Order: sequence, then C-alpha cells, then structure tokens
Amino acid sequence: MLDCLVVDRPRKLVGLFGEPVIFHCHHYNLFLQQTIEDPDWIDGVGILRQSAQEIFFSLLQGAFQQLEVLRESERWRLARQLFSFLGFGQLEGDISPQGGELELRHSHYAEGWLGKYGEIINRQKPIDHLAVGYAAAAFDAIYGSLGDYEAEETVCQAVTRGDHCLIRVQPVAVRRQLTPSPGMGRVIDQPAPIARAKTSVDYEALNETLWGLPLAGDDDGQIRAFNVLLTRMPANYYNRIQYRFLDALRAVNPALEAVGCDLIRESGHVCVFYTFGNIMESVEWESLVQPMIQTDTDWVHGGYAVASSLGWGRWELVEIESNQFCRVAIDGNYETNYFLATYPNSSTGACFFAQGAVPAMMNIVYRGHIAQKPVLNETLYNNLFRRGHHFQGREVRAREQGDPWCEFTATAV
Amino acid sequence: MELHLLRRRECGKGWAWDVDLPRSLTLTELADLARTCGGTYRVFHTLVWVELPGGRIVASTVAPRMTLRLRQQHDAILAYLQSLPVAADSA
Repeated sequence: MLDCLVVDRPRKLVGLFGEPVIFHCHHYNLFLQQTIEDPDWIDGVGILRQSAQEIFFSLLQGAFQQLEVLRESERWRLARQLFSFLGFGQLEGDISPQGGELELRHSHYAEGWLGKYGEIINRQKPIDHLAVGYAAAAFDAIYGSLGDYEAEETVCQAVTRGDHCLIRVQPVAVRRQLTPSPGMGRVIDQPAPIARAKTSVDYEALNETLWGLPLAGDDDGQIRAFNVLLTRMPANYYNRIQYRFLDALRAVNPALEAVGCDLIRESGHVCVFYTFGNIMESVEWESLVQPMIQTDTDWVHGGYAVASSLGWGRWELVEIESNQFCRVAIDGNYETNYFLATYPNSSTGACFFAQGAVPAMMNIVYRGHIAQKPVLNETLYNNLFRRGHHFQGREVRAREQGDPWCEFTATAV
Repeated sequence: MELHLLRRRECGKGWAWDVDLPRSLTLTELADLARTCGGTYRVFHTLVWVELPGGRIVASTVAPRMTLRLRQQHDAILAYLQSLPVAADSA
C-alpha cells in the first residue's frame, strides 16, 4: 500500500487513490469527534457516519479502479487491508450482498478513548462512527453504489471494555443521496514565492526523510510513531465533518456558528499541543530535528517542517519574534483545498483547524516549555490554558477569500 | 554501559520503555543488536528502526536515547546494551 502513496513535493500534499491523506493523532481525532457528537440539538453522529461513508466510498472506489480489483472477495480483502494500513484497527468478517456482521479489533477510536479517558469515565454510547461509515462505504463500493448500505455499531469496546467491537451492515430499501469526496480539491497551481524566516532547520531535508518513513498500520492495524497513535486519514473526512458541523449549527441558530468555530479552533489547539508535544519529546525528533536546532525559534520552525511533512500542505514560518509573535503562511492548506471545491466563497477565514494550530505551536514551545520535556496530560493543558497569558491566533489572509495563500498570526496576550 | 529506564504508558494502549544511554549507538552496534536478537534494521538518515520478532526499537545514531515497543525480548536487549562499552571507539 505504501507504493500507492503519491507525494506532491511542490505542494507538500500526499495522495492515495485520488484522495488527500494526512496524519493526525488520536488526541485530535477524539476531540474533534466529541465536539461534533456532543450537542444533542444536531445529528452529530449522523454527520460523522455519513461523511465517513462518502469519503471512504471515494477512496475505495479509487483503489478498486487503480488496482483493477474486480472480484468481490478481492475487493473486501483490499478494503480490510486499507483500513489497517490507515491505522484504524482490524476489520474482519464474512460479507454478502445481503450485508454482514463485522468484527472490529484494536479500534483506533475505542482503544484511543479507553487509553485517554477510560480510567475516569464510563462511556455509554458506541464510539466507532468512522468505522461504521467505512463499513457501509465498503459494501457500497463492492456491491452497489454510494448510499446503498447502512451500518450500525452493535457492540463497542469503549463501552464494554472487551476486546472487540461489532458492526452490522445491511442494504437500505431506497438509496440515500450522498455526496462523494471532491478528491484533491482545488489545489494551488504552483507554490507561491513565500520567504521563510531565517532558520537553521532544513524543512526540505526533513520532508524527504519523513516522507520516506514507511508509516503503516502494524499487525494490530495501528500506527505508532513519534510517541503518538496516528492515523493516515483522508483529509476530506476532517474537512467534511467540520464544515457540516458548522452548517448544522447555523441551521439551528446562526449565533451558534461562532461557538462551533471556536470549538474547531480548540481541536486544532489540542491537536498541536499533544501531537507536536509528543513529537518533540520523541526519539524521532531528537534524531532528525534537534541536531538542526540552534535557537528557541528553531523549535517552532522544526514543528512546521514536520507539519509540512504530514500532508497538510506547505506550512512556512515567515516571521517570528521569540516568545512574542509569529506569522505563518500556508500555501495550499488542506482545509482550503476542500473548502474552495465545495463552497462558493467565504466572508471570513475558514481554516479553523489552522487558526487553532498556529497559536498552539507557540504555546507548546513558549508556554509548555517543551524543550524541558514536561508530562503532556490534561492537568498540564488546563494549568497552562485556563489561566490566560497564552498565544492567540488569527487568520489574516485567506485563500478562501481571494488571497493567494492563507496567513495566520499568533500573538502573546 | 549504564542505562536509565523509563516505563511509560503509550498513547492508546500498552507500554513503552524509553532508554537513556550515556552515548548514541553506532550503526554497527545497532545492526549487531538486530542480528543478535533475530531481527533486521532500517535506516532513515540518523533514525534507525530495529525490527524484532517482538516489536520495534526506535533508535538513533546521533541521540543517546531509544524507545522500545516490544511484547518480549526486553531482558535480552537491555543485557546487550549494558554489555556495550561506555565509549564507542573502544567497541
């Protein structure tokens, strides 16, 4: 499967069967999912499941076509391989056009949730909405068309604390009208001439090394690297769930949209705090990045050099004042590529993940003092960020508003 | 050489061992570790993955630290590391 990845070096994007794929860890995956499933005045679970079904249908259809897999049994085998390769766990079971019951082991979401919250919360509801959507998408792509099947999680490991989950798939009476993925979206024509702030960190050398790492699901279908539990997720899953979440909030009450934007920004902040915090404490960082670091600002550069290796697009630190301020340009951000292919325009900057991620990179370096290797947990997070005096971000240029690239600032307050 | 061990809860499930070493290991030593423990190794610039039957060691030729994600073989690996000389050039 690694051979099927396509690295678009100028744009710093990674494609798999026509879909952009990006790395994120379970801290972000869980936080974003919880953000969307929690409000009971919208159908958050429906957003998560349907989006997964749509995006993974496109991915699987692309895989079957590209690899010329025609037989149903071979398609199912490939779908299971792909599920594990992407880091979601292991999906097993016998299938037929009438449906099937699938066993999910080592679920990324269920085991991730148990590891993060299992000692303090007893979960009452299933968590594997992505796997439910994936299972329906697999049946759609193998036996029919998008929207022909539906799925339900009947046993969830995060609830039972057992060793597996069960997902039941069955055909629907009438095909649901679902929307396939926009694929790579509206990518930039060519990289913009953006000047990077002075640094000894060699972004491009790091990009090449990290792109060359054979990061794939292990025997359990999990990706462990940089001290975190990773997934190689189709970027459009994140994009679709976050923008549909905002659409749903706006439909209930336009005033709720601003709250939703704040929550997605917070998911970006949580992501960078935990993901990059753990990355910066890993052997991988000490081996590949730390030898290039000469100043405190190089820690931030190192973070963006890694970020631009994750399939997120071309992230460039263009201005930084130690412990005070930074300005980051993203040329061809994965959020914007999707947004411009899906929505006509935006009255405000719409890269909500990046709006949270950029201040978080300053916070992890200058408020979290990551060089001293703190224990990264919720106690530290709450101590640091519930008292104020941290960096706050703003999107100051937006491709989704007609600018040639997106730009973000983070300022100490 | 003397080792400092930290057993740490992994994200998600399971445990990892972080091993602080008095110096970084040479590629020759890491290759020998892999061979001794019945595994192989892969090099990514200064990062080295030692692939063993029981899991993976993430090691470095420039950083004096490694992370063990193994279901077994801990004792054999720690014994190997402890047998190494403090200075690489005396190996």
